[in-house]
Amino acid sequence: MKKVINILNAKFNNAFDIHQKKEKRKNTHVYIESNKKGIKEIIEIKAKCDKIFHKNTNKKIIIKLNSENDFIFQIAKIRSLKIILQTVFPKINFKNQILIFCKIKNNKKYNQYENLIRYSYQSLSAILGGVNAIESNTQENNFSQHEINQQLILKHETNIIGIEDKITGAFQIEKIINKILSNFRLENLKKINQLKTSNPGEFPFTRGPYKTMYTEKPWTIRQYAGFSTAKESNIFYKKNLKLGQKGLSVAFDLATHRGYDSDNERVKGDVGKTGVAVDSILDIRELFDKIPLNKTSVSMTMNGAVLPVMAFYITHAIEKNINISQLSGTIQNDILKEFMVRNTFIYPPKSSMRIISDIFKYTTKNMPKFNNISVSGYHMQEAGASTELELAYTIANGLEYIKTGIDAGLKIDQFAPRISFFWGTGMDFFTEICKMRAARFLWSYYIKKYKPKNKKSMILRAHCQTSGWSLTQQNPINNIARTAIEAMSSVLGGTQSLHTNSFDEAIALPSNMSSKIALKTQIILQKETNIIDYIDPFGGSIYIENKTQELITKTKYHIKEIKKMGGMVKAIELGYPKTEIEKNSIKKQTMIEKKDKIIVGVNKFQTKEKNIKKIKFLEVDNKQVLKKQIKKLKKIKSNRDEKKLQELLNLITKSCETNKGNLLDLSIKAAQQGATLEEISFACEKIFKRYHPSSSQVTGIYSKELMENQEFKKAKKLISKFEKKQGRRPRILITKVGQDGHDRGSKVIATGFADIGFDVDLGSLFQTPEEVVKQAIENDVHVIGVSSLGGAHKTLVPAIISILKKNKKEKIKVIIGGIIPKKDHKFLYSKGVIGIFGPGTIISNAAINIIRKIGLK
Amino acid sequence: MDLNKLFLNIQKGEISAISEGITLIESNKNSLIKYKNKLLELCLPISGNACRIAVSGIPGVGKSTFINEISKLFIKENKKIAILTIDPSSAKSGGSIMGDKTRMHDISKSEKVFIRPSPSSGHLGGVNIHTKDAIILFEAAGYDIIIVETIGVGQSEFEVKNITDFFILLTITNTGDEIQAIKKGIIEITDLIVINKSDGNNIKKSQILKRNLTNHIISKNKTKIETCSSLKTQNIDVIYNIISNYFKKNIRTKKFSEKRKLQRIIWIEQKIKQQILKDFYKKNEIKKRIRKLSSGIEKNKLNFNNEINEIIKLYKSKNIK
Repeated sequence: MKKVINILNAKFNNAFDIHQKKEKRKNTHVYIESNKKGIKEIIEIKAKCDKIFHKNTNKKIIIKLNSENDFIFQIAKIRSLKIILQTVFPKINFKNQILIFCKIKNNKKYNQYENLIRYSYQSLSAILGGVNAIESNTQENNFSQHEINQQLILKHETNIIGIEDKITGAFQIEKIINKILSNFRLENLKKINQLKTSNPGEFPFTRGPYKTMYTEKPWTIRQYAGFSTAKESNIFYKKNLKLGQKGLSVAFDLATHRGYDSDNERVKGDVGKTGVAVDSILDIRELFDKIPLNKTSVSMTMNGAVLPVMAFYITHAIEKNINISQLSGTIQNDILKEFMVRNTFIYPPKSSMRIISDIFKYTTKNMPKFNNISVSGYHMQEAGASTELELAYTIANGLEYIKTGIDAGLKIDQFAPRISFFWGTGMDFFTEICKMRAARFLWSYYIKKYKPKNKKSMILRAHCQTSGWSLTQQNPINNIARTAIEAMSSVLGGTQSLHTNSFDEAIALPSNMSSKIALKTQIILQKETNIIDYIDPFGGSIYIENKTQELITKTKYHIKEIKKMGGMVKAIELGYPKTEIEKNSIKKQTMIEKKDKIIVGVNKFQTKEKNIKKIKFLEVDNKQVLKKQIKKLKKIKSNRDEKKLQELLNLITKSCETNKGNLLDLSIKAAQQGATLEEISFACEKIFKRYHPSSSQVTGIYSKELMENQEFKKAKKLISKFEKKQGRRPRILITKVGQDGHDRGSKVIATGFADIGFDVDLGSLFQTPEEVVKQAIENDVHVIGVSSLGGAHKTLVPAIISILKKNKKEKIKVIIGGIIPKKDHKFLYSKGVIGIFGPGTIISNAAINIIRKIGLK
Repeated sequence: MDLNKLFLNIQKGEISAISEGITLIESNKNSLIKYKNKLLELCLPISGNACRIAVSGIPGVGKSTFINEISKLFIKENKKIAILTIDPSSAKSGGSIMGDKTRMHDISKSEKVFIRPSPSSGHLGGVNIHTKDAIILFEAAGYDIIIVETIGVGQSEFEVKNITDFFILLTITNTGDEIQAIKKGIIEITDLIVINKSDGNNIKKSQILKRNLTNHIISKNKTKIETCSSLKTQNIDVIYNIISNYFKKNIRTKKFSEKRKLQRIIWIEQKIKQQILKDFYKKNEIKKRIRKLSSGIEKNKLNFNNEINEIIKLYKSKNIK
């Protein structure tokens, strides 16, 4: 057997081309292809090369490989071919004479949108294998643009291209390569086991929580669904359960999250948007109607109003005569991250931790199968945190919860196995894989200090969701590929369950069609790519193992910083993590504006969308939902013993005051007497108080980075013109209305605008339209910028405009930023909005646009 | 511009009129100066009746939260409160971010409260040159309490002292050299030092600081010292009583009206200075001369005494453009 050196280990040039013009190299190159697949294809290709080079060693050739469905095998196949050719033809100048293409075949029997998912996986593995170009042969013209975009995304957004080879050393891939090489009587000289790593399922679990991983049981497909009413959700759940889905996932509306009943004036625009409105046990009964709660795992995304929601859920199980010890599922319950990024909290940090402590105590004792917390990094990434910040703050939050459990008198093995994690998976392909590996290492490392006896206490189990931030409003079809790529990283990172986003989420709530494609992404992954046959297939890769280590070191540093401040609760009170995340988020924005970071269709490769008109988007009729909810509230309030209820609510208040008794236990009793969500929530609020975050502000980052940028300079110039003309700089009130607390966008805009030269007033979170207008008038702003991500823009923004009119202040203009469906634009413009800015807006351009509209032509 | 109408509406207490009035006052457009002065002239005779309070302290000391809490007590007494805050952002970045209202969440909703944050417009020091003008406007509009929030940069405490009656210095415990950290001369102008964030683990430290400060200043004057926690609403009522007692005792006295008169004179002098300065730097020939000056400095060739005299001479000459 001839020995060869694995050349791929050295500088690895896998920058690929998008092969559009087939005929370009026809005169200079000879094409070689085979109609076989797998090892046989390699054998045939090699034989053909033999013939050509036998006659003329100077010939230039292009090898066109057939693409494989098996993701890992394809990587190994292409790598093997490269090794073989370089070894067998030592005199050939490989770089100049041989190009390898991969043909992605269009399979017409499938839906075209779904095929984009398949193309993504085939292209991705071909690139990781090291091809020079991808060739696709779509017949349908209007689809070829989507395919090109998908290639562009792979090339510019995933960070997989680079000089460094990221695969070499991966145990399983090297094994396949060796097997292929043995067919040619070649043997890889490099020892495969260069790196010492632990095995999957062994401490510190870097390579996976379980020994067999997906070979035994693939990850759970868990699609998060938000419908506006309990009834609609119930129908959806029952349909999916029939199809074999094992668990269901509940999204709540913002009013519920923030502890308000639907009839509260403050939440008029929020009811039924982004999820189910839950006011009382009546809604929960509808939500879980005819669903066997003892057999169905229920995942609830709830952090603020955890007490009433858990109380309703448990009460309903008891009504159904279910022993609550059988209940399984997850409550997110991760309040700490709410203070950093999402802002759907109710009480201050310390009081909120008291609630978590009580929930721990109750569920550990009574519901041993229920995951009582899901520590989430997802929202941090969405808010712009870097990978290391996401890792560090999430793990630090987890450790704070561990401390809370221990302080509550629980033993580590009693509750640690029930803690799960929730990651966001973005476009940085390898970093995301390494993040999950690093997280598992770190968690087991820190938990070991508590001396657990049960191995499960140290295992970090994770749910992943593909990034919503990475989705663009421009060319939404592109998002199919993005989500597919992110799903693959989550799986290669070793997730236990996965939600894949719908491609239209940057525009609207997911429609039927888009959520089907999202689901299909996971089905293709499980059924077509063979990825479930491999256990941590990238494990052993020198690049990945090193990168994982690097992330571990950086994360430990940040965790130490938090410790120095006295733990996470203290750090949050100081506003530290929030500010760090915001800084990073602004940096990201400037990178996009400077085109250091390319987003296809946003700051480069903009194309017109042709197919988008055909796609229908979902809309919630907020007024109908509101009516129904108010009716139900009246019903429950007229059918209960008020005196008895008041006594029970007083007990909750007293428990908050004295720190005695279990709040969940007391909430269940109140729920059984017909208490509403707001009543339970308010019973606590009396003592705990409602928390109002102070806004930190970061300035200067944007202008520092963009000093030389043309648009930025132009905007600055316009501002000084404006100032000369008007006697002051343009003044804008940037505000959020309703209960939507996602403030990343508004913060980035505020910083950017101030750096450009606007005087920016910030509004408090959770304002009503009346409050917004009062502030706008007092501050005499030129324009109000409303940021809306919660879908409430159609009610709240027209309300602002009409209140302005009432006050004879029409001269104050209104613009909107955020997720605003295209079809709402006309409506909003007709109401008087003068500008709408979606995700991916370049700040300088938006500024120029606004200045012109408010008085500078 | 219908100034009389604007004035009448301000007098009626109309929010949007007051707001527009302040915008006019803050405007840096030369052609508006005459309107600005006219409006002030109309307001002056009916102004001067509010309790003017200054709240000063370094960033992060909790000024906004403190104002939020103390104002609630004024609201209870059915008082109308105007709050002026000045953004400290540097002149370099251009614009500014004003987030004070996010920290005065509770009171910002109240109809009795008018909060107006002002950009510093490059005027370092935290007190905006227009702050005093705005006070006059609010008094004409019938506000009972006017609170000016300022950060302690440069001469700002002394400037704000000149336009207010009661000066509160907010501080917190931190490293142990708090006393040294208090700027020289500040205690002399301070009526009340408030040690904020005195809660939880901080209570003991705050008490120690209070004792030390008391020892430090005891002989010097009648400055009062109190601790409080704005976040937990602790001891705010005590501070409220100190403030309202001060005004009860002083507001109708002769000494007080003398002080107001003196403040008005200072204010007029400042206005004159401002206008002369503006006029001076507007002249193109002066601008040119100053540019030349800086190139002279670079080359290290400068007879500065001569230069100054020349420039002043140039300014005094009749035909200057």
